[in-house]
Amino acid sequence: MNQTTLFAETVRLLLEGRIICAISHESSYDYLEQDHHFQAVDEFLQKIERKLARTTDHKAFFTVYLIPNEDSADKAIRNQFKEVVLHLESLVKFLSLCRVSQPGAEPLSAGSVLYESELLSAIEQSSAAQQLLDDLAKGRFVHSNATDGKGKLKTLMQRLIEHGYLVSVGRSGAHYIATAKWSWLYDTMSFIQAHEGYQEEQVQLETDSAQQEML
Amino acid sequence: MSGMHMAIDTLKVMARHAETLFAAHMENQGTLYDTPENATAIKALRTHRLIWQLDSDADHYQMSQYVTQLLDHSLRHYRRHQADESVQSIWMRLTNHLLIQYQDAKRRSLQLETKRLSQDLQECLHELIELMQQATLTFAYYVTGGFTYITDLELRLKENEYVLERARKLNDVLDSFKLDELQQIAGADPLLRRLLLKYLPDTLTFCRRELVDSLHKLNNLLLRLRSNVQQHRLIAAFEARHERQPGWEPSIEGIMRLPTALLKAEPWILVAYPNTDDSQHEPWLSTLASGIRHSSPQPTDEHVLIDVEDNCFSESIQPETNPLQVAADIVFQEVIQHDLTLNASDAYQLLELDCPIDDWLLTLINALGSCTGGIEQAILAEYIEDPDPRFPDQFWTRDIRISQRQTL
Repeated sequence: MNQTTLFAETVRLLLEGRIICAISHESSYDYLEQDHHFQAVDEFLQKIERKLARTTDHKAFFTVYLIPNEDSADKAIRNQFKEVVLHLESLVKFLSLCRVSQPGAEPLSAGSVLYESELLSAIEQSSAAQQLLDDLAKGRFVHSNATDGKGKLKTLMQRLIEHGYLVSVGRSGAHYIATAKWSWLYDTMSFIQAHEGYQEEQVQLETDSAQQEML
Repeated sequence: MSGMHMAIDTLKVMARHAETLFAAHMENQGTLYDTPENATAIKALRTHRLIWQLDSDADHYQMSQYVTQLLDHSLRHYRRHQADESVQSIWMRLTNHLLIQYQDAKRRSLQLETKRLSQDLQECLHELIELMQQATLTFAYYVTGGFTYITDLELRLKENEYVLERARKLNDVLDSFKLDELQQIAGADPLLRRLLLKYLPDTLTFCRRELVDSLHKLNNLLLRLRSNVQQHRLIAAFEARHERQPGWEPSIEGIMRLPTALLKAEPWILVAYPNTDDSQHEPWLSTLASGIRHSSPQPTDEHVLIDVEDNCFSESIQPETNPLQVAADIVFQEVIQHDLTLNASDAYQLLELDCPIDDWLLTLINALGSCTGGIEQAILAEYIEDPDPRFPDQFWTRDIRISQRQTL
């Protein structure tokens, strides 16, 4: 693919709202890794009131609004956040499931390899993992009607592929690689945690001042 | 007692008192104090000349050099871990002891002593070089392994920090060897120049290169582990929050400054249309247009045709007869045959129909509309209607008068 085609392909992916990483879109990721390409794409996006951004760990690129306070952008951002919140519990449960299934393994991140058979075997051996899978299958993110663990896990993995968190590799359909969308999720979670911490702190301060007033 | 039995007994005694020997070697530089708890060990070890004492009044014994050497050999791996201290210790022995004795012996032309000390010097330097190489490669082993032998992420992080600190110390030790200082020590002595200005610098170069590489990788590993621990804590915090407060949903209402991750733009769908005024598009458009004329609509991905297995008529099923339809047919036949005028409501009562009267009226109208064989032309249906009290132009059918149409 030549540079012009790569530019067009990369911009198209970015405008489609894709999160570009080395796992999901290798050539576009490599293209954006070069500073002058990054600047060229960013300059183009700025002309249409968008901006090129990357996750904190620099593992993924995505498009953000240039003027987030503008009404339509603000509305879209808040709608998008609601969608994240809608699936947040399920995604956290999946991360916990991976941790319970592979004790000592690093938390799931871009490039982590998952084998359905290994997960299933770990789930069968751990009641905690079994419970997590059952909860996930019942939740709105997966919503599986399967009655067996294999069916539930298959649907779960399929949903994660649909939402861009995993890519399927090989012909077996049971071998997956995590994308850097997890990095984006971790960034979002970090902000929520910090913000919630701030809120708790505020509540604490308000309580303290109320108590002082009473005294 | 044969030699073999003596040797085996010696080894057994060492095994029996291994912990005492080890403690003396590690903690007291090979000194074993004459205390009541050491009494049995001292007696056995003395019998096999594994410890010795010059002054019988002294309160301690000294371990034999052979035992010390054996322990040193077995502790090589451990000493590698403490390499920074060991390197310094060997270097001090080499410069403060052997080198001074060697130079003194040489100055005094003591041939035998000079030869012995030159061998000791070479052996000492070899030990130093080997130790530095092994210590350096140990860090490379940690990098390759990534501390995966520790399952807990927090402990793995601490171990990485500890190893990194040791690598830095070793690096400091290696940096303490200055070439001009070595040149000064070596002077014009050919042996010392060969040892200190060739073998030692070669090793130092190799070790520095390897160690810098290991330090860089250990730093990267540390960053990755810190990030892992952070993510691990983040997941645990969310897990705990969901568990503590089921159905909890975070909100960003009222927050003005959002992080980049949350500013992600929603998809912008790009749709392109051909330019019919552009002559460059003409060949493509004409091909497309001619294709439309000749080709039948193709099913798209969204509307995939699926073979439906229709089992409705797989068996011979007799259509059910509608009793109201049968009743309507009877009414029409009777009106025609006997030239009757009949109200639908009368027929409803006469035939004792089991349905609301509205259904019956509707069936009569429908049946008349679907009649064949001239019946529809022979029958006259007149609606008996009442106007709606609120909307006078609206009529409600109360009954139907059925009679035979009179022909002129």
